Order: sequence, then structure tokens, then C-alpha cells
Amino acid sequence: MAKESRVPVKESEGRAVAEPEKIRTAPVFTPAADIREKPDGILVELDMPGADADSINVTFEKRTLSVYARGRSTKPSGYTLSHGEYRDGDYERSFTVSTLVDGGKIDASYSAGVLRLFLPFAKEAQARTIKVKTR
Amino acid sequence: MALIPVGGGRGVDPFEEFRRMQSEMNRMLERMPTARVEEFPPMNIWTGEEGIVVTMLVPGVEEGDVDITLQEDTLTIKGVRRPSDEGEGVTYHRRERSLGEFARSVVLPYRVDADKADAMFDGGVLGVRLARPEEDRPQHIKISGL
Repeated sequence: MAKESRVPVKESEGRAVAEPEKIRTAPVFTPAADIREKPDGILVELDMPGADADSINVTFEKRTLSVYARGRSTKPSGYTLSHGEYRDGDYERSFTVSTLVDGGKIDASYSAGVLRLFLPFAKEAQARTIKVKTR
Repeated sequence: MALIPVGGGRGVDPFEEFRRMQSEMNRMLERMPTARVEEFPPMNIWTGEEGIVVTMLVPGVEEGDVDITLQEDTLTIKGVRRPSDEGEGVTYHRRERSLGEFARSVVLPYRVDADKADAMFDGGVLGVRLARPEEDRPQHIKISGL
């Protein structure tokens, strides 16, 4: 008989709140990010060494930029770990982006373990400045 | 077969504590190895019968910027992580990645054959394979019939 895995359910003030679990058992890391603003857009660089390039997923929806990637194993076969400072795992991070960015023109590239994203500012100034009247 | 919580969900669930501890441990373990480690770059050392493999996470480091030296039983990996040059008029909003020079040294548990050392560099991960000299490798002793 197949084992059924249950999502833990907590009762909180009378409502049942389901806590989402990860499907994969690998740890998920938050990659370190450098964010710089240039005159024509925002440059985001994320440290994601050992990520599987085919699994990198960058999405931009409702001003939220999300990055996800699976990590490849750095374990050499036939050896055992005698000193460990890092673990293999997946990467995930999200950012809220300002409305000046043109989501459709985001440029992403992955090289030497760094994911570089360039978020260009939209050509037309879409935000209209609203003057605040003070009395 | 679904388990119904004891007392219809309002009573005490004996497994609640276990699940809570487990999810807390998972969260703690996930948080630990973030990129904010004191030592950059983080390194793992793997040992086997044939020798030692050292893996190091060096994102953003060019192959030419890494210098690996082996002296007797000490392995030294030095290098520099350069920021990408973006020209004038750039402001940082967030700076979490450590840039600049790095150097890590490790004393190996046994001597290795420097001529047979070899290094691989892929996707920001550096791997250095150090072979143990043949005569130093563990010898399997056969048990002869009694």
C-alpha cells in the first residue's frame, strides 16, 4: 500500500492553515546578490555556483522578480566528505521591483556561476508625478 | 488512509511537536550555509582511497584569476574576484557578494603526488584532484584460508 505523505495542518484560530512543504529534499539557499542601478536600468548579480544552467528559471510577474535554479552535485564519486563548509542545494530568491522597469525586456545570462540580470527602465516615463497639496 | 487529528482537530495532536521540530530544523539547516560565510570561498575536502579532492565555490572568478600551488603537504588556492566594470553613474542598492582577493590554505592529511594533480573549473565550481602516490595507498590484505 503506498504511503501517503501528509502536509502538516495547523489549526489557528479555528481555521486550518496548510504549511507548504518542499518536494525536493535538497536545501534551498538564498543566493547573495549585488544590485546596482545604472542610468538605463538595474543590474542584479546573484552568486549561484554549481547551478544547473538548464534549470534556471527567471520570472517577472506583478513587479516581483523571482529566480530559481537547481543545484548540481559537487560530490566526487568514490570519495567521502572530511571537511565541509558548504552544501549542495537549490537556489531561490525574489525581489520586488519598481514600476520603472520594463518587465518584458529583462536580460538574463549565467556564466562562471553568476546569474546576471539586467532590468532596463521603460523608455517612456510611465509614472505621472502627482503633486501633493499641502495646506 | 487519512489520519484524523485526535479530538477532531481541537485536541492535542501527539505528532504536532515532532512536525514542528522537523520543519524548524529544516529551516535552520537551510539558513545556515548562505553566501554570508566568513570564509570566502567555501571549500569542501573529500578523501578517498585514491587521494583527495578539494571543491571550492568560486562564482564570478575567471579561470585565469585562480592560482593553485602545492608545496609538500600544503595546498594553497589564491585568486581574485573582480567586480564587473559598469562604467560611470552606478550606485549600489545592495552589496552582499564579497569581491577582491582571496587565499585559502589547507594542510593535507598525507602527501600527494604533485605531478598527478589536476584541476577542473566549471560553473563557478573549482575542483582540484590530488592523487596519492601508489605506494602510499592503502593495501588490501587478503585473508588466506585457515
